[in-house]
Amino acid sequence: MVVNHLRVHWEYLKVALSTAMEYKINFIIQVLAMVFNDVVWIIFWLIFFNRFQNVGGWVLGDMLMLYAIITLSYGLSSVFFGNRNRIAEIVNQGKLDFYLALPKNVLFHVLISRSSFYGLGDVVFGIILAFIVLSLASLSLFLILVLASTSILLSVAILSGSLAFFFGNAEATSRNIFMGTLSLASYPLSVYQGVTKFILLTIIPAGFISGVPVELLKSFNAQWFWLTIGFVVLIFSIATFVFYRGLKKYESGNLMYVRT
Amino acid sequence: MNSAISVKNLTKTFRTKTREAGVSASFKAIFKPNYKKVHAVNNISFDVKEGELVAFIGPNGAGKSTTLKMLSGILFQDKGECRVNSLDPQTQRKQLAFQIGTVFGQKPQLWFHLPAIESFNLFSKIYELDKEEYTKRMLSLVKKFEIEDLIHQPVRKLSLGQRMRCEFVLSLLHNPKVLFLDEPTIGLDVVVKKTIRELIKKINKEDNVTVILTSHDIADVENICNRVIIVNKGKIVYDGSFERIKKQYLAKKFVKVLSETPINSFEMKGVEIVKKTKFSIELEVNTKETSMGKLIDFLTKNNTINDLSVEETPVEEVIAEIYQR
Amino acid sequence: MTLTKYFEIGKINFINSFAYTFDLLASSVFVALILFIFVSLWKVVFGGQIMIEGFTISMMLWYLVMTESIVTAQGHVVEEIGEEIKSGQIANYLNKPYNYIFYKYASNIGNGVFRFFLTFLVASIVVLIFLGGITIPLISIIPVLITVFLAITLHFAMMALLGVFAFWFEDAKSMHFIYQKIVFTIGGMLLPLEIFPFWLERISAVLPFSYVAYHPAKLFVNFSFSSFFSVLVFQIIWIAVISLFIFLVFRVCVKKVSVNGG
Repeated sequence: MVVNHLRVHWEYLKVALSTAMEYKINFIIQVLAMVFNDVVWIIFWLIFFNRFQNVGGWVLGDMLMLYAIITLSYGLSSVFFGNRNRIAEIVNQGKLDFYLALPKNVLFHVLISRSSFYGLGDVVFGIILAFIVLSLASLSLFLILVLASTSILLSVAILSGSLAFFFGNAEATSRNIFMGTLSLASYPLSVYQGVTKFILLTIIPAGFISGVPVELLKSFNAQWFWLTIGFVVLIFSIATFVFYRGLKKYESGNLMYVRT
Repeated sequence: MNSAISVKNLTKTFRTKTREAGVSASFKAIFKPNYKKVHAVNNISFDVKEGELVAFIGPNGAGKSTTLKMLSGILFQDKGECRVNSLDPQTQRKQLAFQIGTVFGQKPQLWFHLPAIESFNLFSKIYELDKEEYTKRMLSLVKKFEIEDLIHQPVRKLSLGQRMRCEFVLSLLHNPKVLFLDEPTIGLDVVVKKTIRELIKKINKEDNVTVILTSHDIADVENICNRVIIVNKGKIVYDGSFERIKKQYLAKKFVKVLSETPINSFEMKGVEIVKKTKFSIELEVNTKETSMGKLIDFLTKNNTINDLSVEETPVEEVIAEIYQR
Repeated sequence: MTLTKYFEIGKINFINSFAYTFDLLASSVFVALILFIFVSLWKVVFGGQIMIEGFTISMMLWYLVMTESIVTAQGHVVEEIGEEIKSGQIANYLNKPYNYIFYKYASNIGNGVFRFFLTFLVASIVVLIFLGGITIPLISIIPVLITVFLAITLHFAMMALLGVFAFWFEDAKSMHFIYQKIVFTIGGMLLPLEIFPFWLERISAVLPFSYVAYHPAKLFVNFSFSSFFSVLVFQIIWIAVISLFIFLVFRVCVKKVSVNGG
């Protein structure tokens, strides 16, 4: 079962790679644009911390760690689950038919059937950052936290994409929810306080994407670690549940508008 | 013989947004859209035997595609049940997918930028096919559909007809027992349509594949299928052989006669005079009530016939008439 | 008969613009979120301090309201122009090259001004709720609006130049993306240049990017007529220089289009 799905995943990656190679120049430009984006943000924070040194207990090293985690989980999910942000479009335009007629897990199949290889730019950038700021001892914890944060990003994408089952045209809204969550996760967790912080650790899980992992890498706390793992399991289960709940309402390509 | 498909009281309702024309109405629709229920499929039942070739026809929005999609596990029904190869598409979608093939004329499955062979290979992984068996089957299908020279070119460079043949091969790789074809000949030219029809018949005969197809082209139906199900407004309005449609609804024939001698008016059961001049006459003949032979005998006995033609009502018109009932 | 037809076309366009407004609102909501984050960030950074590099916290956030509103005012100019040049649609403008750019400018500026005010409104509400207002001299309003208008124009000009360049570089989207990031940083959209190291501040202050974001926004929170005139002059100089570039590059690529048969 699982092996067969992995085999299909591998096959899709090969297909995506050969497509990317057909448009080599575009591919290279896109990778470079991604790296450029990451570099610009790092420069922003270098300037920022050069002037202020400390933001609510966070220093430059913490911020670099945050970017290592966020670029890696963003990049990995782009490469391996490239349809992440196109769920709403696929549902709304009836493109889900293709997946439903084939003998594979629908959600998995949707997510993997495209690969944004330019996400490799982010992955490479994240690895380099990790080498700079991480000690070898925390490597295994880092990897686990990157996986956790990738899973949360995916769950947010699935949840927001599933809106299309219930509301039809939700492409822009879904994208905004995803990008909004990512933006919230791109700043030090220490800037959020009180109610905001609570929201970011519950309804909008931006805190668990980056802030909590950085705090854990700074000083490990078993309670928060297991809370993070538990949260990943919870949100992923909810996302899957909502997707399959929505699937029952799927209306295929029969977009009928009746003018009366 | 076993039944390949059985459908009982199948019902599917869509909620559609209705919008009134005009500025204020569209403004209102942003905040409070109106919904209207549409019965796409309304309590239909039928059975299809293994190896049958069934056509599903009906006007746009009649519920053909919706039914097909429920049978292939794409849509969930609201009520009723269906079985395909004794599997429930709703709960056993994956198992079912191994046994069915789909070709949707308007939703290609091939990767547009890649050669067809790469799509074939990918599908062999999706269907978990044994490599050797897959290669053998693929090669024989490629030969059968005569696409040997096409499978290594990116699909975007192929003509629609060539693409369609590749789509068929893709959907047959895993040796499906049931094939769903949704408007497989749409947009093709007459010659290609004919090839596709022959191929469908060939697959059906040689591999004993049950085929369900929808089409707007009556010629498809006439040439391929031994059974026709006509749906309209979500209900089945006809289920039977194509021949029976002809017999039942094409009983009326038009006869035009030119004579060298003046023709006299006459009366005969089942014959109606539409138009008459001194040397010609046009008749509408109900072949159920009188035989064509008898009429011609009568005409030749009383006149010196110069020319005689018999015309049928076009099938399209007959079917359009059935839709309307 | 003809009149009714045009009336109908107008009505349909108007109805369509509702969907468009919805899109705009969505991007404003995004800006609102970013400003919320900035309010949180700067509250922590300021802590007990009253002034950082000449900025009070409310100056800082109203500065950011301004930069965000200007930068989001222009949509997908790079992609639009890049697409039209590559597809040969500009062939119609072959004889009078600058007409095409002017036409694009005319169709974008109205929309840009509208977007500016919408974003400004939404962003202001966020800052008002989570931080508070700012007092500005009444007399500064008109001069600031003039520099904002010129900033949006300069923003358009730079994007149009990239769009024309897209004739050679395949991916207009990536070029837009990179340009955006430059405005984000050395344009001063995310941080006032005063926060930069001195050498970088000096360089950034003279480059055209800061005349899109930093200078007009600084003028907004800290107005003086002398700086208004200097901003005005440099904005006009940069618009002129970049327009000249557009003109030159456009002429070359128009030649190519006509050689390729458009």
